[in-house]
Amino acid sequence: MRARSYYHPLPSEGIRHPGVWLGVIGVTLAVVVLFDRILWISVPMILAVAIYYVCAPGVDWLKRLGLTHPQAVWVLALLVGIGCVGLSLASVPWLSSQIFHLQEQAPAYMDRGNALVVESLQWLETRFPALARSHLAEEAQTRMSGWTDGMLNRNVHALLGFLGTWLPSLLLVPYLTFFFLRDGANFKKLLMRGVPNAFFDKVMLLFHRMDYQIHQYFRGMMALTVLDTLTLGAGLWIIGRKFGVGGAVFGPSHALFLGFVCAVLAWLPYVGSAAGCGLVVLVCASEAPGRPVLLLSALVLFVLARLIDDFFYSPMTVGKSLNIHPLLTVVMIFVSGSVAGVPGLFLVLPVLGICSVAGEVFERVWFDEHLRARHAHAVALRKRAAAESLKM
Amino acid sequence: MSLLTKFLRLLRPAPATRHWDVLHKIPLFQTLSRRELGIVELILHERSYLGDEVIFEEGEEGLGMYIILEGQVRVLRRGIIRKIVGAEEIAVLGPGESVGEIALLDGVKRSAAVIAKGPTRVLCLFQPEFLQLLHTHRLIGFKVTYELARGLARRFRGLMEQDPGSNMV
Repeated sequence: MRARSYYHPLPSEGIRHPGVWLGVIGVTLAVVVLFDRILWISVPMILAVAIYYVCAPGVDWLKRLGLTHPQAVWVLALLVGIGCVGLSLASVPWLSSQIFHLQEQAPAYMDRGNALVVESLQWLETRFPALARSHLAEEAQTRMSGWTDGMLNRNVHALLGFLGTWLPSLLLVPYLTFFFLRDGANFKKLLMRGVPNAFFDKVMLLFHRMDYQIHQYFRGMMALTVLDTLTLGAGLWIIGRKFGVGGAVFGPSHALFLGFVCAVLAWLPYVGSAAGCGLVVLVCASEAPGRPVLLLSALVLFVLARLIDDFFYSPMTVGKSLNIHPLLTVVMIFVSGSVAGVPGLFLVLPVLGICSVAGEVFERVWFDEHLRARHAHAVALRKRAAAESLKM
Repeated sequence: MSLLTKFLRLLRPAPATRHWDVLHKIPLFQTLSRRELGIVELILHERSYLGDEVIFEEGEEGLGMYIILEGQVRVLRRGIIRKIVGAEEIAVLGPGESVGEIALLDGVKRSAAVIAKGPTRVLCLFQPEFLQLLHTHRLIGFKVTYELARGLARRFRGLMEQDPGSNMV
């Protein structure tokens, strides 16, 4: 909330010109497609920007203690580096046990998930004879058994390939973050030198608002992930205790891990939440087969978590940082998903938020005849000065 | 040079400001040390204007203050009789002087226009960056806001003296 005080209270009227809206949508999609094409650099860049916004308050805090900006960045980098190494060393045994457990249980989860789908379809076929005639359950069983055969082996190979491709790219993240923190202000000054005098104030304001918007979004997303993890983890642990299926999956650490996976999946708008719910249902169906009440409890927990997320956590964290109409948001999610796949789903909202602010300020600058006249006057003065110097 | 030496070098005071000669004369910054002025300078933006180029206009939203490094600027205000005589020149400011300090406190509309008299170089202090500086460097914040308050008090006293019948206290 502190950042709000730095935000100049320019009344936001939103974009009014339809041409500007079309431009914002077009630029958003172009940026998303471009980012998708250069994913090897855009992913570390975005991660670095996200970490930059999380670390920036730390740099501010160190500066308040009396350090200069470069000193604060170095001290923070050292502290974060030591913290990361320590945390990695401490969490390796726990993380490996989680992954080992997941790897061990994955075939069982898949089988149980298949069985759950088939049983549900069979139940539907008994209730609705029209469905029975289409042999949907039989068809689903045949298709899914073919798909899951050898899926684990395929995925292990894919995972190794994925790590091989992405590890060098991800190693850029701390490097980029460090330079964003150290030289971000200088880069902004460099960019501002290219802005004509007439538009200087307004463009400065644009930078400031974009900075604020991205700051709010990334910090909000981080806080939302922590809150979602805690809520889902606690809920799963309570369900596990109530139904006596704690231990393996619904013990505190496992429940928290599952909650974390669901919270990260929720970064994908709409689709991610459904995937997280599916995962929880799958785990419940595998851990306690034949206990529909447990399954129902997990579903209720998920719906409750989503409601709490939508009505309490999101307004408190991400809030109104993306002041965009919900209809446009949904349409953009689907369109960018279709043009840029999963990266498009991840990227579209922050990119749309930034582009809409840029569009609004562009509209205020470009359609302000006064500012344009001032710029034209300045250009004429410079031309005249240049002509006079040539005469001499 | 070892990494430790580099790190220790970083812990030395920040380099002195490039515009020390001008900045330390500005009332707002006169109580700041050379190191503190160096920190302030990191958020200043240098701009160049030609003669007759508008720096800002009367009535537009104030987003920051300007410090004159080189050249002169004319401060113009449209009076009640502007339709007859146009804008009235109320001051000419030169190097070391500043305009638009009020905008640092509140983004109110500019009360006068400022136009470059000849080729002019200025430093701009943008309000949101200034507020952030006050937040991160509290001692600088205290010194600058105290000087800002003193400047406002002086202006207020000046207005009172011009209009003794005023009920302002």
